[in-house]
Amino acid sequence: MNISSLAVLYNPQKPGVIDDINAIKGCEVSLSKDGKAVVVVESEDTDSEVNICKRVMDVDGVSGAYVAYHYFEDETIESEYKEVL
Amino acid sequence: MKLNRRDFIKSAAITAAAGSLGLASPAAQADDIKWDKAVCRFCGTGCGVMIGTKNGRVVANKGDPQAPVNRGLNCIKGYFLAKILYGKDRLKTPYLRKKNGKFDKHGEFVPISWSEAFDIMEEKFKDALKKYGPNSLAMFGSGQWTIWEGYAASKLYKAGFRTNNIDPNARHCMASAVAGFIQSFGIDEPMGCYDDIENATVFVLWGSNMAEQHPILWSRVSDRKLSHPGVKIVNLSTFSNRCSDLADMEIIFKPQTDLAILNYIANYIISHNAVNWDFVKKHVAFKEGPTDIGYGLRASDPREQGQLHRSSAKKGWLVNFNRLKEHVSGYTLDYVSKLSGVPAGKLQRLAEIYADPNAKITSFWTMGFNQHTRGTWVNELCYMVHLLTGKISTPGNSPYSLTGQPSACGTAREVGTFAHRLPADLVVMKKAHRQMAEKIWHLPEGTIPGKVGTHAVKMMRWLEDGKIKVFWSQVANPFQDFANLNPFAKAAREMDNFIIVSDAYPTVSAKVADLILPAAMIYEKEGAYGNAERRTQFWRQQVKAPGIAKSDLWQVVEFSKRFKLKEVWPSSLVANSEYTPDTTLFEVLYANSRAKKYRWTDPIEMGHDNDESKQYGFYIQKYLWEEYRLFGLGRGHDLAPFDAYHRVRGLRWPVVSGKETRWRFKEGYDPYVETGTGYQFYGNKHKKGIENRAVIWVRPYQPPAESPDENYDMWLCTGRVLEHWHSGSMTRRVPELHRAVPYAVIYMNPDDAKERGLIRNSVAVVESRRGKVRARVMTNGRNRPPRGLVFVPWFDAKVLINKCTLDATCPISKQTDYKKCAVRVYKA
Repeated sequence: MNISSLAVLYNPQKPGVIDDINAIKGCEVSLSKDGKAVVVVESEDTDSEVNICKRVMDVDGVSGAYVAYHYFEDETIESEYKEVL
Repeated sequence: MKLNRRDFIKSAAITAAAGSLGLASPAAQADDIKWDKAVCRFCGTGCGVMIGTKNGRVVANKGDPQAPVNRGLNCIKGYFLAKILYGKDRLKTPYLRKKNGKFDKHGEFVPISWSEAFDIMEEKFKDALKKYGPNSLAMFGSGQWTIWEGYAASKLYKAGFRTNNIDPNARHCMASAVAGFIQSFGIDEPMGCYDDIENATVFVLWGSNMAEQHPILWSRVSDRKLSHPGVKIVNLSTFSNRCSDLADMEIIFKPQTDLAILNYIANYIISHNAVNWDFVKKHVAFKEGPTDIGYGLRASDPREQGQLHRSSAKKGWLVNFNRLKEHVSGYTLDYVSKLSGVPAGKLQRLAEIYADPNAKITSFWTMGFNQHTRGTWVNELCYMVHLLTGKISTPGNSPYSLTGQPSACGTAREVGTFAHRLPADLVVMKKAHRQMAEKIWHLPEGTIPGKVGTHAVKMMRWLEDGKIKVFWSQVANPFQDFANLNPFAKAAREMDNFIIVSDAYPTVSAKVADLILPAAMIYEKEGAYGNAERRTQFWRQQVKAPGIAKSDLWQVVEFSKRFKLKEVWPSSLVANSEYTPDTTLFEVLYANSRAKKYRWTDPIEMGHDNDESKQYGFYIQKYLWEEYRLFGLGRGHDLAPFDAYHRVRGLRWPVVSGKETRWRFKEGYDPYVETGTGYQFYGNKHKKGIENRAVIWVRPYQPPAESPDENYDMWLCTGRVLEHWHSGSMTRRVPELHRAVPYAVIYMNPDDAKERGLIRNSVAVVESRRGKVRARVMTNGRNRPPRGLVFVPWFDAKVLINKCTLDATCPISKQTDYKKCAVRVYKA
């Protein structure tokens, strides 16, 4: 269970920004006001959390997405590196 | 209503984000996670984080809402902060190359105990000391060392082994900034602080891709611009980057011509009568220095011939304003526009901005200025522009050098873990400075050698020349980081020497090593870092290191037990000391009577672990801190007592009477400035002819050490990308981050690609006179080079771009220019 939240800054004059964020799978806009939004990200692992975060950054009208909270208690981390030793 | 665990964490996540945005949200209920304040371990911004632990494991992290730097936010690297501790290939035990049960340089890595690791180290150190003397030892440290780790290592080498052969990777990152500060102000580090961001009306970026490398500071800059109409951003760079998205004006200039652009701006300011004479007359002096200074290459290199001041490049003599005026008059709009490739209109607009008496200007720079064969000069020239207009040391008016490592300032610079430095800006060349250090360290006079040690680049050349016999690296990845690394890596692997690498992961450098020591990572030890606004921040140990991994502090201190004074000091020195020939370095430098006064346990630890203090029976970090801060008290480098930093979110030095300093050198902000003076650049207080003044240096444009020609027809510039940090030894461990930017690419102009028969994703070779690498081409990415330049990030161990780079340095700062060399690019 991975849960994180993003603090998002966006252009409130631009229509549809919040809808576009909500449309990203695993994303939920919990609060939004005056160009500021709280987005909760839920996913199986940090891999998809990061991808979601990057997709939020790429939404037209978003000027910044920042990590506020990250919970990853149950995850074990595999490495793609071959053991050198 | 009882919430399930998922809803519970969700509500905590919402509250955290809402808090950082100033939005109202229902309060989250208390959770079962234990939270404690800490600091991010990546760039030099110094963001505050909260680390959440449960059952001896870090399970969560969040931006610290109380941290003034980042106000509850983290950049995307925040996803990896704590997770970075849990990579599957963490090193958990020492490894030694062995064949038939014995050390062999060509053997395979075999896990060993700490005692066996120290046995072989002891043998190699003592052998080298006996046969070749102390200068055959060298240590390569880091701006990621905690403050006491750097301090302890510096003591071991400078006082224990009596060699100044210790230098940090900050040499590659900050040395030109340091030299610029010392030459212009007589004291290191920025005069301003991050509060400048909320006060400036113009931001000028000089070779600093803040949007990717300092995202949290960039968020503050963005916020300032978007909420204050009229605030402007100018982005100067050698290629288009993400900062340009928000910039009002983008200026793409030819590499190295920043020197000329700054001289043109000064010319404009002077010829348009925009000099702040009241400020300049009272607070500025003028100097000029030699120009035949070479490029920091080996003496045999043709580019070094006839360069008479290559080893005295920092010399200078006093001149007057008219000399500066005459010098800059040659940098006309027409000449500089042609040289730099920047349209005249843009250059003039930039000059007008600096000349505007009402503009509050913060100029930010990082590696574009510092990694430069004239890095010290270009830092000084930026100060020139700010000093001529008096735009300095006041809110919003700030020439601002940012740092790339979390404690480049706190450890490398303030502790002085350089080949020529001691704490608090003292230097080994000055007898009075050595005496002060010897007094604080309770050592006999003459313990610290007065000869400057080998700086980082020289360390590698000396390895190649067979002069360095034992090389120890901590929290660094030298065999990926150094420019022109082929010959150095070969020397390390094949020559008669012993290479020790302390790291948490099997990096490129670990593979080159003979002995690998497993290191505890950031939250597995108590630590302190100092960021780019002079803010010192502490954290407590949160969890245990895996296996038998140990902190770098422990490694240095524990190893010192292996040396008796009679083995490292001449008998005359021992005789003048308060110790016996059999006293160990451990007892002299670390576990002395002064140290033992700091008892373990201590209420300030709030019940947290501290593995080193628990073992030694005294609070070793507190002892080292309290001793270290004696260097700076009353000398403009004042730090607060140890406990204070565990209670607050950092303090910006000088901390005098419990109060931090936001703007140095300005009356009313800086307690060191005397009433009625307005400003005092007190770093130069005792320097004849420039007392309490800042120095404007007369510096010309000079070409780089290597430029494109018909054989190698493109510029190569190297650097970082958002998702990866430095050599990627931490960020690349985590597969998701790895996949986000899976390998380093060649950012290239589409027309250049087309001309070479390349398209996006083609595999191409980047080749210089020194080496070549293969990577994929990117023609429409976030970095968009002009024709004739490629940008290749250096995080990727599989694309070792430093095989191609040139080890030319600024002759004053000895910092390598990683931004300019000539390559050709062709289809693989």
